[in-house]
Amino acid sequence: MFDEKGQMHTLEGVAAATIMLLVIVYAIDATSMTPLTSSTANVHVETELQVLGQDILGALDYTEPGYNSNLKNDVLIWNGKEYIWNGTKYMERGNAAYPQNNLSNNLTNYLNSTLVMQGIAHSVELTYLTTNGTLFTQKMIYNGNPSDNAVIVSRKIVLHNSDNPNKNNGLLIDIDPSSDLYNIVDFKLILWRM
Amino acid sequence: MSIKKILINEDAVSITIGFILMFSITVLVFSGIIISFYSLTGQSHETGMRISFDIMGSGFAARVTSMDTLVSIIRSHGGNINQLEYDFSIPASIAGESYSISITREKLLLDAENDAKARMPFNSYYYINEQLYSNAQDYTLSYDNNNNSMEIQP
Amino acid sequence: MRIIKNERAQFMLLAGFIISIGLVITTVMLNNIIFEGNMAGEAGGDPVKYDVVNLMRISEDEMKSSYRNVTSTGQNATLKFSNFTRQMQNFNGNLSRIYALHGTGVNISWDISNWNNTSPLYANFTENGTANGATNWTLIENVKYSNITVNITSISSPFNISITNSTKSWQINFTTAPQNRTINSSQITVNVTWPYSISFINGANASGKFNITGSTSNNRPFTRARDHILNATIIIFTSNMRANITIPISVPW
Repeated sequence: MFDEKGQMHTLEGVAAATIMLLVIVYAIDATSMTPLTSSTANVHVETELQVLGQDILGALDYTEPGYNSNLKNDVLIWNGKEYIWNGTKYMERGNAAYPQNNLSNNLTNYLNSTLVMQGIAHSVELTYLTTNGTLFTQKMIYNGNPSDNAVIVSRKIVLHNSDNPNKNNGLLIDIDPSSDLYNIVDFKLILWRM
Repeated sequence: MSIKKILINEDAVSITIGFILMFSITVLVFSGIIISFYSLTGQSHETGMRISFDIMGSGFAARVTSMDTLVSIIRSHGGNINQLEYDFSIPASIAGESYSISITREKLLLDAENDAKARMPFNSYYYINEQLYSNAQDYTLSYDNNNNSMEIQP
Repeated sequence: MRIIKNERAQFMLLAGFIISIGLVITTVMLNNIIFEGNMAGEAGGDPVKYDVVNLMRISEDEMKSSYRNVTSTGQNATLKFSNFTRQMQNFNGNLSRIYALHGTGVNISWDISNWNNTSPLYANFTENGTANGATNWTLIENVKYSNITVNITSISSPFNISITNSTKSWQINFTTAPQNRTINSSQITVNVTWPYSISFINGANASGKFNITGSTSNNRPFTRARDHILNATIIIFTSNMRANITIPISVPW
């Protein structure tokens, strides 16, 4: 009467069936939470970064007739060195002997109050023309290699001889000495979320 | 002898009935699970489609609005637009269903055959009235200077 | 004891576990496939608008700067058209190179027939210089002092320059052409005290040149001037976008 042979059989069957049932229910639940949600976050983050970047460049590039924009002035006075963010300011890279060489111009003012506040990593690169027809790229701000969902926003800036570009930046040269055109700079701001 | 076998038999159920019971219970449980599985995927299909429509619809609205704004900027400068075209493509089907996009000046409506619908807030200054079907995937959004309107052609 | 020692179910339970692990792996892969099928394509933002507007702006600025260079007082007046064309051609060539970095082709061409003519065509006094631009418009506000020089070449009905401050408005009327008139700062301040704003009323009725220089209330110098309207045609194309736009450009400012 206390023999358990048949009961164990039944219990085995029920246990196996219950395990399979639980697994299938979990599997169905898993398909409902598609990773579609993370993909929307990806696309929206990129769009948001692009709009933010274009707004920053648009505000910096505002010109009145007869005056240079803030962005153009920044490019004209830049000395060609690379700077990295050390947590409080943009410090010159590779020159630890002069920790007081910081980058401080209209661009950094904007970046401090927008991108740095939101924790968005950014790099700034400038590309210009050379006399033998190639393009040359220099970095103004370097913060590592961008991630996959990085966004690049760019503006073209035309420099003239009459603007007196900075002679400290020896690589930005006059590509057309016969006319007033000095060079055309492609200013690129690269943004990504950590 | 058979009576004795019945009396000393310790099986909970007889072999045949035991097998029948096991088999039928398993079959019923599994078929119930599979039927519920299908209805659940159907529901997640619709939700997935609606989310896809939202993403696609807002991207499409942003594109048309961007051309609308560009045309307004150029015209306010006094300029003339000789040609302005933008190529884009939409996926042939979302979650296995084909769909249609209908766009007018006041609204943008996406509609799929299984009744998943999405409607985007949209407003444009220049006239546009088009219907796109997802089977022809590549379209061109262009501005027509003579009629002062935007058009979409496959 | 028998319960503990009974191992008969172990194979069944083991089989159940193995099946469940296999099912989970299959489900995850199937989930990814369903996700791929459901994914929407090409939902990103598009930079069409920004590139085109940026190109328009730098082309405008370059044409104005070239015009100012070739017509400035140290330059040879007979060579001004060829100097202008040369500078614009250099600009066009270099611009194409730098736009090619982004996979975009650009071409800028210009029409200087309004300037290059034996009898040059002057612009209307509307906001964008064309006959159907805004006919009543404000050039500049918050002016402290200014000098206005106007040279009218043709006029169809009365055209005014209005100097307005918060309490008073003084109209300078023009009815005949050709006419060349200079209004200097002292003449203005006699009638209207600073800060004032300068507007053109009924600008579509007249055409000619104007030149207004001065300083705003916060001591910032300004110049507003127009000699001619030149037309520039800007062509920009990428793999999925083509644009061909003609814009009027007011030179020198």
